[in-house]
Amino acid sequence: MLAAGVLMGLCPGLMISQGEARVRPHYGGEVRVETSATGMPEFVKLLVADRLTYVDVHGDVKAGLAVRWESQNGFRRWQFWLRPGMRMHGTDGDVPLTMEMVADAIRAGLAKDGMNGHVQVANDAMAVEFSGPMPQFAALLAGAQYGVTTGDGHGSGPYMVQSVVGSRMTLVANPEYWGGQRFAETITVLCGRAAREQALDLAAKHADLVEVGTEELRRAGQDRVRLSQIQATEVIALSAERARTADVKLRQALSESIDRPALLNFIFQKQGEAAGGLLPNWISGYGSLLTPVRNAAHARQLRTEAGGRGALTLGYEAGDAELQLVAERIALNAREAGLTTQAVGRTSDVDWILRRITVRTANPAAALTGILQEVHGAIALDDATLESVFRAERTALADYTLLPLVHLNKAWAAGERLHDWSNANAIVPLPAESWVETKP
Amino acid sequence: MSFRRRLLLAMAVMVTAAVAAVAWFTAVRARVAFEQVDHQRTAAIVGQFREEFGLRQASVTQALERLSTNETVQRMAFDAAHGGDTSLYVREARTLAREQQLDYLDLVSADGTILSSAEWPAHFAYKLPQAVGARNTPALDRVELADGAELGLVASRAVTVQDGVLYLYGGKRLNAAFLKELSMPAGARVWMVQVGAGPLQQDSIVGEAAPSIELLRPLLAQALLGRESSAAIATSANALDRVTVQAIPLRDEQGAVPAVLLVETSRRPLLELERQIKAVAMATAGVGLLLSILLALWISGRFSRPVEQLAAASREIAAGNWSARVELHSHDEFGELGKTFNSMTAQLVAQRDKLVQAERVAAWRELARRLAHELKNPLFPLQITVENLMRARKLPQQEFDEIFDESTGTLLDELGHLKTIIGRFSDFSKMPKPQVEAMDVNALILRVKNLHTAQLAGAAHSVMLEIKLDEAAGEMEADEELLYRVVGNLVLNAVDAMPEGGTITMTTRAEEDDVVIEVRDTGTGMTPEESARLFTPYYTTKQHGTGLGLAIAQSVVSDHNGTITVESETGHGSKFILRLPRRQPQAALQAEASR
Repeated sequence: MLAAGVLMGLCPGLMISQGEARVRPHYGGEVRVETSATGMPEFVKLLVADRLTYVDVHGDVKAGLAVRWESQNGFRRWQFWLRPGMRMHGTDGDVPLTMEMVADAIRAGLAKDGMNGHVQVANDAMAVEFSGPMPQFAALLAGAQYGVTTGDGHGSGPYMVQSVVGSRMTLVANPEYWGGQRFAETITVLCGRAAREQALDLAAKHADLVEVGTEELRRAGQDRVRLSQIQATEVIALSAERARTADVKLRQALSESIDRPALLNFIFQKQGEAAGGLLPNWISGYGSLLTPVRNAAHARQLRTEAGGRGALTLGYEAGDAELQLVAERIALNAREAGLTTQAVGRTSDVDWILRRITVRTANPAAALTGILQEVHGAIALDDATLESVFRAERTALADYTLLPLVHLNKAWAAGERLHDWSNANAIVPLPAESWVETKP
Repeated sequence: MSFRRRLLLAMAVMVTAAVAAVAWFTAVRARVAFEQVDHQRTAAIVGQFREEFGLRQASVTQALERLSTNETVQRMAFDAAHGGDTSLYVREARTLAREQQLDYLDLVSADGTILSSAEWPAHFAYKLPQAVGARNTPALDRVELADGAELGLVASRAVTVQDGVLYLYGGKRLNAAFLKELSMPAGARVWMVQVGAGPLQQDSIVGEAAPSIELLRPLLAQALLGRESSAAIATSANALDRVTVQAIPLRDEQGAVPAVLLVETSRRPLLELERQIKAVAMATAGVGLLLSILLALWISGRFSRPVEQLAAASREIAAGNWSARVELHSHDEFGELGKTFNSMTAQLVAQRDKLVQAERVAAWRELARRLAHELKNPLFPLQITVENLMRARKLPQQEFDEIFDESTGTLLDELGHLKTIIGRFSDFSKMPKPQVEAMDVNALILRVKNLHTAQLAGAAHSVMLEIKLDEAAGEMEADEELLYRVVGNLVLNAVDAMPEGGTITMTTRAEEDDVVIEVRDTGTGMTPEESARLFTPYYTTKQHGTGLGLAIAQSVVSDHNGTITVESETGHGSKFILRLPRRQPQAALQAEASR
């Protein structure tokens, strides 16, 4: 009861959605979305370019363009079978979606992820072979980088790109989508919109769906804004650059000197969780086993044992005020451990880089792979089980070259015109069942 | 040094010293005046600094006063006191500080924990004990920042809401911008040195284009002890780039010195003024020196010319020009001196003429006496012989013939004697000029020795003849025959001086451009008076001497441009020393002419 009350208090939108669930969905209408992202946002890519697989909110892999798949040879060989009768949307009319197109997309995705896989096509089947086990491959294929597109922005997803004018993008529903046409006829996406402007537009009913960053989450909750499921989808972590070759004790000393709860509570206003591991607890479930430890005395001892070392430089992306504050706080913590650290607004020629790493999937193995790929780290999974992911994560953290600091909550906020939106979350802002009122 | 030069030097020294004294005095006065102005200027800058300091204090006080009534601050104070979530306010300090134009603002809970920091946002949740406890009057303090610490003017104010207390610890920087706000007079600059826990470094100096910390260390050491001090510092190799830096300690509430104010004033105006004074002094000294030279020349000409004329006349008289006169027409002491000098020279000339006349008379008398003496002896036998002849006419013819023959023989002998005497006098008056040619002096001495050794062998008393020859003496230019006669005469004199026998030593030696011949005997020697008159013609100490031997010897030596001297002591023998030049100028001329 208490949990329900808190949930209702934090997310009044959920209550509203449930209350309105009795209303029959309508096709048509326009969903006005605003985002701070520049370029094509991740969720738009997912709406436009279909993938072989999907990962649901629970992290389970579901069928997409592929009707079935199987792995062989200890997850070294994967084989996929294409859903029949698939077509690409585009201005040239019906274009069949072939396994060759899919294979090209897979090859491009593998290249982006820095993975070596040999792709072969035979009729409506495709085989991908790896030199080592790749048990998470099916989940990885759900990522936007594996979406099948024609190269001019057209894909086979539920929506088609109608126009791109400046920072405004217009999508229209694909009536031929294999999963059925979505309710909203049109989605307009305004990119590069500042968080404050998004909040104002939502309040003024000029937008139906806006991002809610970590900073705004607390205020949004207080202002009784209708929020999606809040998920920690961003990891703030320190990755070793020059420090990779330093004494491991120095890296451990830095890790143990950092007051992660203070970072979370003060800088990020408690919107997330202090990170002992790379994966957020809502994905891994074993977050409690990787509790962050701060031990300044031990850090000082490690620092002393490591011997002399000049000032460490801790870089962050210039212009990111939050990361600057985090970096300065870490420098302050590190000073207590005897580590002279300087925060600098650059990401080259530094000992450590403070990074924001976005978690794009609920699948633990794929999420961990994605995180490590961002910092050019290696991952070796025996299988796709959670135990295997846990071991891989422990291995990745063992040498202190990657120090997770906090997991930050993200969410979307919706206006009153958007209905059946209760399944929305930070990764999927517009669920398939959502519909919008046709009257403006 | 001549009188004229001495006078010139004295005047030059006097003028230079006077100009130098004036220049020094002027420079000293200028320096004192400049330092007074410098001191006043520094005092003005310090006063202005204190005024700006006071304005900043008031500004900080007012800002904290306004903040204490700010709604956000009040809410923070309440939340902090009642367990509210103060993490919400972590970014508030920066906003509030910006609103109040404060450089520093820390919102601090009652236990000293920073809730929000404007100057160091990452400093939240750390302790700031100096913020606890109201300190309404802003004072100097070191404010900790992410990249170190800097000097600030900070105050602390307690905000009380119900039971809760929140401290506002805020202030303003005392940095380069603050120093820039001070309106500085031309040539003056100001910096501030932040005193931290570590040693002072160059970046401890706040302000632009600060001098090297190394130059300032002695000053800063004094300032850190709480003493004001100043020093002149060279900022570059240029002699004009000198500054005076005054270090003024700035104290905090506890009396410690967290900062030192440095006020620099350029010494260039003073140095330029000194340089100008030196240039003017040099020019004045130069002109003065020139004028003093001209004046000295005129004065010395006026005063030293009579003296110089007297000196020149004296030199002429010394040189034998007895007609020299001094032409002085002034009516002062110099005129009187000139007249006296002319009178004195006239008297001297008269005296000399008298003396010459007297000497001439004496010489004639001496000659007459000598002639009378020399001629008297032969005349007496002549007279006796003639008288005998006159008496013999009365004698028988045979007897007369014997007497006649005897008398005519005697007459002829005596006449021959008279002829000899007259010939000697004639020889003395007709000394031949030396025929100079190269000769070996040692061979000459050997020749003399060989001649006289044979003669002395038959003497009653033994006379030894020794020689000591210097090979370096060797060849010289001289008339060998004349020189042979001179040395032979000296040897004969030496034999005469040793009636009881003895040793004659002939020595030659080379001395620079001269050849020295010595003839020493071990005879009776002479008194100083005898030695002094020895070379006077017709003077002799011998019973039958003519007194012309040594006079002729001296004449020969003189014709060879040499000298002959004697060293003698009664009872200890005599030594005659002939010093002759190795080369004869005449010979050189003749050699030149022959070429």
